[in-house]
Amino acid sequence: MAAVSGLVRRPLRQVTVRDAINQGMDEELERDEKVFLLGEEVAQYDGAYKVSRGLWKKYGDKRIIDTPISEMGFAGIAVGAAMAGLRPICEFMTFNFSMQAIDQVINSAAKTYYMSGGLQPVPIVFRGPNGASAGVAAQHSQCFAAWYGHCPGLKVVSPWSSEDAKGLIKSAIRDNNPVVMLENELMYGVPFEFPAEAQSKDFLIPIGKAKIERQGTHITVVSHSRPVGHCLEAATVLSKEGIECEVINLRTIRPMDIETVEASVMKTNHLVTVEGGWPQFGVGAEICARIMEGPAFNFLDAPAVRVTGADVPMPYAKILEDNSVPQVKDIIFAIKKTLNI
Amino acid sequence: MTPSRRPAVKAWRLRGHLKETCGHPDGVSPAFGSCRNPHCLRSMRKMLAAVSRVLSGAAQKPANRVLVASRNFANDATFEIKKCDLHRLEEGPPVTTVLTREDGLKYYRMMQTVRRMELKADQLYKQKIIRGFCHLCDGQEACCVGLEAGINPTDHLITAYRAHGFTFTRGLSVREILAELTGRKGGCAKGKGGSMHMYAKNFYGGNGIVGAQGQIFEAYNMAALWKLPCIFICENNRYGMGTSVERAAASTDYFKRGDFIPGLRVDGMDILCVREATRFAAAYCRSGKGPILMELQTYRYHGHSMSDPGVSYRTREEIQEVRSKSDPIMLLKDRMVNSNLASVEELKEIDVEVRKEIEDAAQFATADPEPPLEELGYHIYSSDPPFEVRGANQWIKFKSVS
Repeated sequence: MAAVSGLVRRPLRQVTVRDAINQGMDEELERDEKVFLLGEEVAQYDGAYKVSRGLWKKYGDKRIIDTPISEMGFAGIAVGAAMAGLRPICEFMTFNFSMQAIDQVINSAAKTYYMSGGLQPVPIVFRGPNGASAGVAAQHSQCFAAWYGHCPGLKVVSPWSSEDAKGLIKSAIRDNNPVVMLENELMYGVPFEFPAEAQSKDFLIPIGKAKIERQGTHITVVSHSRPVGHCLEAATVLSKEGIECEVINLRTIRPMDIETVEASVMKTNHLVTVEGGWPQFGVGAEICARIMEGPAFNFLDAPAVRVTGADVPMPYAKILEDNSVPQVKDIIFAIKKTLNI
Repeated sequence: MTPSRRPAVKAWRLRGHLKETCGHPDGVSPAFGSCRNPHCLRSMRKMLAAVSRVLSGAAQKPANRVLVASRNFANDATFEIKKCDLHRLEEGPPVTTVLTREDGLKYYRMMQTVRRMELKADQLYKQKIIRGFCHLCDGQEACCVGLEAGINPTDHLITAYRAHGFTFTRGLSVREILAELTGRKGGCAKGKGGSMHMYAKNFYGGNGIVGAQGQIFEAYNMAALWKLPCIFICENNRYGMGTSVERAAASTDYFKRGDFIPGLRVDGMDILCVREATRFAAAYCRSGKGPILMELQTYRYHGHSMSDPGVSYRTREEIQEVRSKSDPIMLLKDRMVNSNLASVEELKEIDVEVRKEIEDAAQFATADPEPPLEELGYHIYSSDPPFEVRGANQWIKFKSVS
């Protein structure tokens, strides 16, 4: 009898990425009264993508603030608040709009601790959806992982699953440095199993640590954000053909956990990187360069290969858009080419 | 008597009857017996007669034409329009204006076309034939049509994402616009731009990134400093997405916010007001005095975009009130009919023609093929020799042609 009851498994909770971020922010707002959220439509509208649903009702005008449509202005205000001792979460409705405010993110937030010789920290989080959505065309589909990942002084995280989203937003809010969290609109509604530890109010995912989502022996496939799911799909397909892929979810773009990638490449001898952003100067390009500089290079049996978005502004027409983002078939093709199959 | 004359005579007699029994104000019978008075048997009989005529193949149109030709319309009429609020201006646009019958019919047709086109876009979006973002301007027709009436085709215009109306008034066809919305090769941007990225001669889009209040003030400064002939226009529809202007602006007197730049506040639901204000503003600029600001007070019936129901931050009563009291198309129609510039039937005929035009355009927009995959890389650079564009991996290549 005792043995049987030990085998009973409690069903895991299914939580969407949206709700995971909501939970994470809610818990941190509750934990520390210096934390507040500002951005367009975050309060009374419940969030343009409903990520901040219910927070204004719970915390009120002083903690959840609707701003006018003035990214440069409110990002600057948020940075000032962080310098003065508050812990703002500054939401960009999409990161495309952050380009209006990028001077504040880089010159006022990222560089300040360095420029002040260690005197002035800027504990701020910039978050919002990043990258391609569906049919939103050129000005609303850009991936900013490479742009923000380029800058010393910034931390940049890119969650894929609900667990990633909750753990990373909490770590970002508690971090005393400027953190950019690149979410994904198409992932907001996707449910994931939420492990027991993720339900704790102190559940944190360390910034700067990648996760091996799937163990494998033949090839290392590294990705971040939504494409991680595509990589796992490709891995499932290839597994039937006897190819076992090791899929790594970067979770953090900067500081990048290259050690996890290196250890994996030293085991599998093959590398494919997958990202939604453009190829030139992208996340994959950085991974390849670092692999060449480190111990893993000598373990490569083939050149590393990148799978990326197409090198064009995002077209609107569906057939063109579908071919401008990395698809599962492109990942499978790249893996097979690398393995010379 | 030729067969086509008979219905005309009958209709005249019926009109007299309707004035007596149905209480229609001007004795004008609604088309095809659409009198709402359930007790109007004559009206029902006319409707049945009309239906049977249609079914028997006899043309209804010639009868109407005979009616129209036999009526004397006024060539033009003078109307009073609302005085504009002024900022740093001694005098403003005139408070009366002359509308010719020809112009009236043109404006009516244009506004009705924009209205129907936007409603068709709503429909296509719900059918998932249009994807992504779709920001509709129904309710704001007097702004784009009135503006165009006050400027020249050689003037330059740029706007934000609520751009379909301007795209039409700047000269593109409904076909090209709808086909762009559906992402087909017959679209004005070959399907590559979508709703927010439509361009035409002297029309610079269609832009998706807005707000940038700081940039506006920078632009005001340079325009005034260098006396640039620029009309800055604010279509104030009371809400920025889900946030009312009171919650977003320290001063909602947008026409004054150019500070050293003179400004006008205009009734944006009255196309004649918009036209006169635009003529005034354009003349001001062309005379070398520098920039000027125009705030058009208007209203959008739809939410911010198709993903916004538009009723969480405003009441249905408010929307309904604007529709019933200030609809721009209704206002023009009432003016024209009451001043004998046009008849109700004539305007209804235009409605029918517009509906057909939109239907045809929607057919085209749904049937036209998507742009070819080979052209994915085209139009990255202008005036450059062809080069290769990388696809999702290093083995997928596209050609890029200017």
